[in-house]
Amino acid sequence: MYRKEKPITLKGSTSHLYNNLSVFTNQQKGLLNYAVVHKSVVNIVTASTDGANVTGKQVVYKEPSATQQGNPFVFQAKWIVLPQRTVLVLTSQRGIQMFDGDGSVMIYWHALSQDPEKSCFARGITDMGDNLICVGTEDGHILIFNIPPKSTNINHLDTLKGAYSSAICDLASEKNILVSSDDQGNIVVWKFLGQQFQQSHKIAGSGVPCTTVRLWKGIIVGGYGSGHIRVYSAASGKIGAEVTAHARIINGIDIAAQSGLVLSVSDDSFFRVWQLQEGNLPQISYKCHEMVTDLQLVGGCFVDPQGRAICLTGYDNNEIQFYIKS
Amino acid sequence: MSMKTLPLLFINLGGEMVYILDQRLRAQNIPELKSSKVLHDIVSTMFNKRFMDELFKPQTLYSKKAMRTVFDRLAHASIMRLNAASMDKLYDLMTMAIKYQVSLCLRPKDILLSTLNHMDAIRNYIEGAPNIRQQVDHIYRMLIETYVPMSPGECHLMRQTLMHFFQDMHIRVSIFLKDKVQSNNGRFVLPTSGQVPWGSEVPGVIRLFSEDGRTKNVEFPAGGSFTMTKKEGSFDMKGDRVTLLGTNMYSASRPVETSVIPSKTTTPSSDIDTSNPNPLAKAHLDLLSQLIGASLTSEKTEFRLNLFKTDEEENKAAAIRPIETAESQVVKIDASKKSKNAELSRIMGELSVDQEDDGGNKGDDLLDLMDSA
Repeated sequence: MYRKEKPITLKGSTSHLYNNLSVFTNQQKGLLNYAVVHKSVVNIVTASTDGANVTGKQVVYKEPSATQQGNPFVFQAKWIVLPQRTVLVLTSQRGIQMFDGDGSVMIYWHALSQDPEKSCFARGITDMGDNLICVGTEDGHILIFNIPPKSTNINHLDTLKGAYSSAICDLASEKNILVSSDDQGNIVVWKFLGQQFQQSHKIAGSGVPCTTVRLWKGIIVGGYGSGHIRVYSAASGKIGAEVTAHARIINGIDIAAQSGLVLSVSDDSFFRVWQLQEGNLPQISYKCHEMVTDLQLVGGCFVDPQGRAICLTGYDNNEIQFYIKS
Repeated sequence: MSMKTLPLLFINLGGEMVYILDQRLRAQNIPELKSSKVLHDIVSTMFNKRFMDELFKPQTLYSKKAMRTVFDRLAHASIMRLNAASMDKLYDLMTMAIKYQVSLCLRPKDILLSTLNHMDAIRNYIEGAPNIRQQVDHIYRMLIETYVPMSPGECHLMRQTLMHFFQDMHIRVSIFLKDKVQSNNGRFVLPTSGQVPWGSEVPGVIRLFSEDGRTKNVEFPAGGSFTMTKKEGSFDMKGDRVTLLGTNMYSASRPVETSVIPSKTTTPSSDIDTSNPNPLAKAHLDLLSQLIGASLTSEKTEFRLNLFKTDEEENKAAAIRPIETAESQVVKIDASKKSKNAELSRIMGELSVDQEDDGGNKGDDLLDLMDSA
């Protein structure tokens, strides 16, 4: 069971997007960082672990070419922690921007479309190996970027063209495995062989988007627009469990790295916590749920690797909600 | 964001406007002949073929201000006049109604069903006007062609785009408060029971698969009592839409009312996305105002519609919201004869300039358009 704690206030309300919350723990400085998208702005809140000091700042997705149309809407903001450096990645309806970890300096910008009348968004962000960042696109491609330990000398290395052509919703990775989910509910498993990626499994969807996908100890957990959670083995691509989890779209899933607890959040205003079990066919069991009154939940993350604390965001609301295991 | 959202937003807001005006026209005992003329004129302007063709082209949504301006013009497309306070209230009611429908729809494609509910109602209002009926039928076909083949993924993106548009709008509407679907802070009440979306399952079951092909079902508490949806709404020209979203919620016993939220609770929202006007929106606006300008010229029997119970209430409301009024002064078409004439002559002036400049070409086109409207 989890009990409600004091929320943190954001500078703006939360937009309705998939996975609209990213958490980055800076253990050296003892700081917790939260990023939430508000239209074309990302609101960042930094709090000391004891909650005594809270500061906020905003990162705007600016485009010089888009002055006439206003700034493009951001689709996702996520911190990627590589061994040498931490990068804040923003995707929008026109491209990708990367900032240093505290969001103060833009270090890379990749344009997907110059035409303001054409949508060409990027969505789904994850890391691979020591120096790669992977980003999904509306065409169903996955762009691979090389991030050097220092400097802004970031390269677009490769573009993975998968078996499907519908828009990528989310990406997840673990060791040398990369998993993508898309608008048709398809999941593709890739293996990174040191130089290149090889497609190892395709899990065909039913047409309903797989809005969010996570990977833990070779277990793939997908959250769907229909409210289902499905659990697959990354090694075989076989399904281990299917849950009729929520009454509306699932907007976000997170897994606590050390405990295998799964958090799912939905438009139905519930968050639910589950437990994964490893095996040839992975299994899942129910732990608990809470309702957050009148909030359509669009982002949810565990704050710590054990899964003792949960943070949540909801559409049109300017707070990050906190729940602590009691 | 989705480039195909503008027609849905415009048609739904327009449909809601027709509901509200219809209710107020009755409440103010406007003669049948006049009120049906108002509704016919507005629907016919709204669904002008050239304007609609422009609207259905892929594009980003208008800013909130531009959209508001379009509806200011549209509301004055006939012989009815609204003053600033009534127009504010009308637009608040329209936007909150559509925000409710977009937020509460079970699945994104239901937004199309609620649009079709609006279209069905509009079709009833214009019965006996075969010309407008043709326009309306054309819009049905465009809606069905554009949105029925959309994938669930595209529909989700479309809903997210609409949710962006309505973000940070928290006006309290008394009909929602009375029905307990909105709370005092302006947020909608989310049901924790009732139907799940078409094609979804009731939450509460974990299906565990084993390698020998057997399935074990484990139940868990879902925290609400949900039921399956037994029937999908019809996406045809006529049919049972199943959902009630988008139907007329006003009646004689449920008058149009809004409570004005105290100014201290209005959230400071970033205006970054709305600060720059969309050039396309401006072009459309020009087109629309030209179309409407023409229909104004032939009318002499204007009347004023009040969205409030009494004139005093209307005056009070106007006094409460000075900031907004100042902001939107540019687009207001005032009820007083003087400024109406100014607007009229301005539009007339523009038209005649067009004719001279283009050797009559463009002017002729527009005149043709107006004759057919």
